[in-house]
Amino acid sequence: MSDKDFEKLFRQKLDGFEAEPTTKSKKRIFTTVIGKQLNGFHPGRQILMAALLLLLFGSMVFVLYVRQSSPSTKTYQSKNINESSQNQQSDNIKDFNSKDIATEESGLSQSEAKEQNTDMTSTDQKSTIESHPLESKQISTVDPKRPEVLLQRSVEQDHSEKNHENNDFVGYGKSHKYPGSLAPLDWSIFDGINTLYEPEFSYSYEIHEEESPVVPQPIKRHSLFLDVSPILTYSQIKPNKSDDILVRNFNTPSDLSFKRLGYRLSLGYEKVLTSRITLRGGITYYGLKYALNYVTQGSRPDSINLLSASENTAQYQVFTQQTEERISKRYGSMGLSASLKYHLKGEKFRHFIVFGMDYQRMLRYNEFIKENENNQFLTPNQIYINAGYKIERDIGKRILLKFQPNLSYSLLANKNTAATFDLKPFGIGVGFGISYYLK
Amino acid sequence: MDRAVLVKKCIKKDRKALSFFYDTYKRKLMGICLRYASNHFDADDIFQEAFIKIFENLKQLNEPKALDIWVKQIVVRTAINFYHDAQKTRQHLDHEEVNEPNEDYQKIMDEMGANQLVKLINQLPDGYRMVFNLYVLDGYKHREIAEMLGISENTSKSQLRDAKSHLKKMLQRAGINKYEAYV
Repeated sequence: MSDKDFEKLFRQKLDGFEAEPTTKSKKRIFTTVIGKQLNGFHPGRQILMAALLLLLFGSMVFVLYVRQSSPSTKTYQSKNINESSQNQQSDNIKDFNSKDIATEESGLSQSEAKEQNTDMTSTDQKSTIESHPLESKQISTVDPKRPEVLLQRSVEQDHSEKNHENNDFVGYGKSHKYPGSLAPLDWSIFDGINTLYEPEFSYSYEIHEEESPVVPQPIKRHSLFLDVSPILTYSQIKPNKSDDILVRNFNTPSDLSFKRLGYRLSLGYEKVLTSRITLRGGITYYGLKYALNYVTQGSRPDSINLLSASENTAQYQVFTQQTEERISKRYGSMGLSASLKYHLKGEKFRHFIVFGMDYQRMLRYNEFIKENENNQFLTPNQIYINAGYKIERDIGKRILLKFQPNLSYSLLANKNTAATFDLKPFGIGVGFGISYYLK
Repeated sequence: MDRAVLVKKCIKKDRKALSFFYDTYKRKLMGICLRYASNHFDADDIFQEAFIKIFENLKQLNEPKALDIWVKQIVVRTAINFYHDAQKTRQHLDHEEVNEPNEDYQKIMDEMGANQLVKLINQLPDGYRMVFNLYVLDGYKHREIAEMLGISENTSKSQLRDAKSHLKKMLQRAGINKYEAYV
């Protein structure tokens, strides 16, 4: 046989020769090629996370400053004709109530009162306030359409010259100056009206916004908090279906093992928005631990040996390589958190449900390795959603203690294409905390 | 999936595309690696290194239609680099003189599978194996082989000749063994 024929023979035999790579080859290749990319966190996700955080904290700032600029307690004066147009609608409500009360107090018939009110409305265009601090009553009325409104009436029977001189009017414990353009009027022009309103009095009303008869209006609205929560970490495992690797024999620590025990520290600021809703924001640190043993094997056998063969039967021995692997995770992450706390019930022991979100950046994620290959495995950025039930109790004028069972669930899996599965950590813990009221 | 689209997605490190690409080429490229390596472990190393190069250099692929050739070239060059690295660490092996056997290789090879032939190639000394693969199975010319391996053309020719002699001898042995195995 010539050399040419010899070569041709080899070419024919080995043309298109193929072989199956080992199961670990893909894992190693993808760890190198994509692992870095995933660990580097996709830029699109970074933008999304940044936007989300900006939105959360922007809304927090907005709520804080806007609400501070609009008082939660509004005072209305019945005869104040110089209120701005923005308050006219409120004045209408107030006038309506004042007319009813005036009718009741003066013992006049509805028609008479109507006449009086007509006069009052006409004179309101140029009158100002009289205050008579002889008598002060507090009446609580509940309007079926406005059950949250508490009406306070101050009946003042003694004319206060001092208030006139200072251009002040009385409003729920506070004196308010009229705008400088409003000069005191000649009171003699109201003599006729004063006669109709015997005894002379004026009204001031206070409307408490969002006040509920069940939940008292919180007074302490700003606080700093420090929460500590031991957390038992678990993981949701999602298999990688594209790698032809079977994963089995999962062996995890017991549900209450110390190998799962980590903690969560939170330090932040808390602002009461309404009687029921509180906004919280701050810095959070997670120190989590997790361990997992498992066995991998290829979906196809690595080798098949023919043990015996006859005309009708054949006996094969199939070998499939199995590898025992271990994940040991112990990492620390730090980030920003924002949450909303909803007041369910209680005054002394206040019960809340809490929903929030944490954006975390791993500080020690390189310790999360597949120990037998020394591969980095973890997505360094995590977003957790949190839910919890919180019970709080004041233990002083400025100190508050709290107890909170909670659940933290990661929205992002620890992805790595080379991995045989993705891990989504979640933690269950019981938190304790302390808050300090700023004011 | 269209190759141009596949390549674009792979460049963007799309997980599914990379996985599809890998599954498409893995067996073919592993076959090449096995031919060039002296054992399965080295073949694995070459395979992994080559695939990483492929994924990281897909941007340099100008013509997606030439993907198959480009991929194969990278594997072959990776195998050659592996050979060079191995040469630095391994001692030079004296080659035994091979007497030309006078047998019917056609008959022997007909009875052998591709896997067994590759195993014979694996047993060749590194230089012989490289030249044999490059010249006989992958169609490179002696000038190109000389350039790639850093040897002269004459060395390439002589190594090819010796490689074939080795193979013939091994085939003869393999043929006898095979015959004995079926007895």
